[in-house]
Amino acid sequence: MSPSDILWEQPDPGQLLLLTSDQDWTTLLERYASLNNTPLKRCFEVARASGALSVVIETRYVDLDFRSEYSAFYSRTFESVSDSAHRLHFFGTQLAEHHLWGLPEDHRYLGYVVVRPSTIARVGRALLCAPPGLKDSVRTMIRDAVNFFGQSLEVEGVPFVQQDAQVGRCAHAAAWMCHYSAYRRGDVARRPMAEFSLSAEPGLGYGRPLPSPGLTVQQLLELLRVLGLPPMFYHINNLPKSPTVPWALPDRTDPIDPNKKEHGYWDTRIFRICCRFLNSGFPVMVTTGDHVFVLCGYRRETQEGKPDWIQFVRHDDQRGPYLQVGDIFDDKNDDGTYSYTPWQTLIVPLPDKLWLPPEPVEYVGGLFLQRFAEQVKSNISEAQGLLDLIDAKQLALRSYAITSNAFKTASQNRLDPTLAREYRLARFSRFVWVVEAIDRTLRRSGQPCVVGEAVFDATSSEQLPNCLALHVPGVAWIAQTDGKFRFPVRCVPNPYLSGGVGAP
Amino acid sequence: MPCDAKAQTLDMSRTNQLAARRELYFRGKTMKAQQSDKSPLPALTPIEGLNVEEPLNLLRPEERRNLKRELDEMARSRREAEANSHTLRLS
Repeated sequence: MSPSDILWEQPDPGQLLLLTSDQDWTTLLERYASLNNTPLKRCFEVARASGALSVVIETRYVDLDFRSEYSAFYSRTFESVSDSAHRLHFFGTQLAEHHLWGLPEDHRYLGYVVVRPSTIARVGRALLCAPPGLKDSVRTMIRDAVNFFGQSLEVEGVPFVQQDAQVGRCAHAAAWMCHYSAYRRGDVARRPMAEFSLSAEPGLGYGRPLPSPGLTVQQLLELLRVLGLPPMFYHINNLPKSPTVPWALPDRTDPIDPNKKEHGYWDTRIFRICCRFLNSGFPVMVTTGDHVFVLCGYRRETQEGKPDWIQFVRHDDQRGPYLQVGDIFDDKNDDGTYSYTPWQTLIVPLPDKLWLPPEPVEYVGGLFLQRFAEQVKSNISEAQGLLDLIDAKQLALRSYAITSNAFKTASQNRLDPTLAREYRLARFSRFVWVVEAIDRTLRRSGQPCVVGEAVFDATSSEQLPNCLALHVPGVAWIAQTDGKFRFPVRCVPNPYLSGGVGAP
Repeated sequence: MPCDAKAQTLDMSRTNQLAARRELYFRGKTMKAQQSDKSPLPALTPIEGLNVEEPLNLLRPEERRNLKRELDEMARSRREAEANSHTLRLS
């Protein structure tokens, strides 16, 4: 079947295909051939790696995002374009046709991919489970609800979309991925794909809005603000200083290669900045010279005798979902035909009231934890443990943002019951930044490794972050809103699990 | 029923209503008296000679000065980066 022969409304209501051989997958890919089939191919690789054995093609699928693109653009072209799409549902079990209206209990739903009726770019809204090898690395997963022929299904993953190169470009696709994640987190209302083009401020860019030539960085920043996710912005050549707590590793200050002075070739602060947001479950947009992609996770690689290395996971609308980033300082695509290095800027779309940036929080949090432990150690000997870790250069800091409700909810399973009770009854701002003190040795061995934390009000000033709570082994201090405080909250000094997303 | 008897019955029902209301009022008052204005947070046992009021006070004077300088610098570098004009087009 050639791409132009696709019947977008037939068969009614769908079609079941078994995917048991290489040929089945090839046939499916050929069916939806397009100018850039790499993202669709990668979607199929992800589904296959997760164990997909069946696909159900939901025909005449009225997709909100494609309909918005259709309304804004395709309905106005001379060529006839279908107004409906296909939605491909992947299952990790071999289904039979009678299962379409009554799925077996062990259906193993793996997610969906909307296929656009455009021969330029096929992948519309897609949400697939992360492949098994990357599942633990992916940190910005959301849960999506799907109605499959009257049956409610759920899938967890990171949303993906490919630019259609007409209504939207890479910047629109990346903004949509972050925005759909925020929508599913409950931070913003749903916005269809075309709105990302139509809401862009033309005065901040060049050329005509449609067909879109892309967005400038200013347009992208403004677009995210208008859509309810005012972004944090970092220029890679001008990153904020890292916290200078006594035990922190110093920043590299010189280029590795004197001929490559741009910080995107050597500045290790990029890791720390990205990880703080990924620990919070927020995707990070990275711009290169002419492209933008989305970081959605990372994995810490320990190397004998060397500092740990961070391996990121990205969604690149031109290449597909869940792709591993090898070395950010020599970052190329699989066949080496495109170089992402040097990264130019980091853009982090955030909920409105997360005003406080993480760098001052981590700096102040580290200092407060150290001084607090020193203050109490003569009466509470367990606190000395944190100072010993500092002396042995085995204390790391890990920061993440979280809603205080989620922090309190999770506290019961992570913390000593006395401390969990105090946190639950404390008055905290809606979002808090948490700076955790991590025992590096325990972290390396995969054990619970958090030995204390400082909690900050996310609406306070970056010039004086407001500390809401401090906890070191054996004791905690908690601020109250009337200026009083709860101290000493005595608690068990054992290490516990991190409250951030994913492994610390 | 004779008129007098009817009036008496009405009187009685009014008296009963008043009594019921009074009872409710006093019961409410008693309940309120039983409620405590005290916070339900359990009391903590202080440690003699150990007090922490404000984390900022934990820092030494020199550290506080450094803290202000470092935070100002971080804020300044952020503003500079944001003000830096970008004309890159992402496509």
